[in-house]
Amino acid sequence: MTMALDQNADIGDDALLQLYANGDQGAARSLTLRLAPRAYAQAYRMLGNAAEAEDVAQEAMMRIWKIAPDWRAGDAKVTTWLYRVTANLCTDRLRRARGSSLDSIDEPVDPSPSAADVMQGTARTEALQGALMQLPARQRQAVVLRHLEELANPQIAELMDISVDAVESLTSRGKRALAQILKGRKAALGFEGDEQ
Amino acid sequence: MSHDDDLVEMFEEARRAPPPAPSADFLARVLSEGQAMQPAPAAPAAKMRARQKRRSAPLKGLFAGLGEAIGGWPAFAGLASAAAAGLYIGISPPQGLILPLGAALGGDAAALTQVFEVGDGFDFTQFEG
Repeated sequence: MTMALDQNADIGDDALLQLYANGDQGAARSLTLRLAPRAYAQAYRMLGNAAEAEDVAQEAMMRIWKIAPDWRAGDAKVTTWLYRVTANLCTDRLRRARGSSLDSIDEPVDPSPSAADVMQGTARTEALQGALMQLPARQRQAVVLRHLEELANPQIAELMDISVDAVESLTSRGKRALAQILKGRKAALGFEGDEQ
Repeated sequence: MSHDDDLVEMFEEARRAPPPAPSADFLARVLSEGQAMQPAPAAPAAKMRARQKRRSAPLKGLFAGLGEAIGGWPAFAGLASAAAAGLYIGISPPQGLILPLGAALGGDAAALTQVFEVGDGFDFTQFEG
C-alpha cells in the first residue's frame, strides 16, 4: 500500500486530533503518516527489532485513536504524549522479556550485535545501534531520548517519571558504557587515536 | 580524539541518517485501525443551519401572516401607541377631562348619574319635526 503525502501538513497535531474525533476522514491518514513513523523509529531504537517496534508503535497509535475524543488541546504536546506512551510500552516489553529489574543485572556484551543486520545506514550508525542494544533498558532509553531524539533533560525526566538528576546519571553511565563497548572497534569504524 | 568526541560524532551521524522506516503494511494496518475506531462524522454546518431554519419557520410564519392581515408594520405601531395611551389614561386620568364635568353638575353624584341615564319621559319622537 502506498500512502499519499500528508494533505494537512499545515495543521497542528492538536487540531488534527480534534478533526479526527469529529469524523474527518483525512485526519486519520495524516495522523498515521505523521505519528506512526516517529513511534516506530523510537521503538526500533529502544528495542532493536523491527517486528517488535511495529507492535509497540501500533499499540501506541491505538491509544492515540482511543484518546482523541477526550484530548484537551494545550494540556500536552501530542508528540510528547506519544513519546511517553511508546517509551513505557518499550520498557514494559523489555521488562517482561527479562523478567527482572532492568538495571539490576549486567547486560551480556555481544561483539556482533544482531540489530545491525536490520539497521539501515552507515557502518557507524549500525555499530551505534548495536552498542545501544547492549545497554540496560533505562540507560538506553535515556541515551536515545537525549542524544538521538534530542529531548531536553527535564522533558526526558517527565517522560521516564524520574528526576532530572537521575536522567543525567543514566545518560552519563550510558555514554561511558557505549564508549567501552565501541572501544575495540574504533579503527574499524574509521576513528583515529584508537590506542587510548 | 577522545571517546566522548567519537560518540558525539556517531550520535550526529545517526541523527542525520534517515530514521528506521516502518513498512507500508504497518502503516496500512495503523490507518485501518484508526478508521475503524474513528467516531462518526458530526453533521456539517450547512445541514445544521438548514435544520435550525426549518425549526423556526412556523413561528416566523405566524407573525408574518398576522402583520399582513392588519396592514403591515405601521398597523403594529398604531396598536402599540393606542395601547400605551389607554394604559396612561387608566392609571392617571387627565384633570381636564374630569373637572369640567364635575363643576357643571355641582358635585352632585346623583346628577352625574342622571346625565347618563335616559329619563322615563324621554322619547325620540320629541325630536321629530
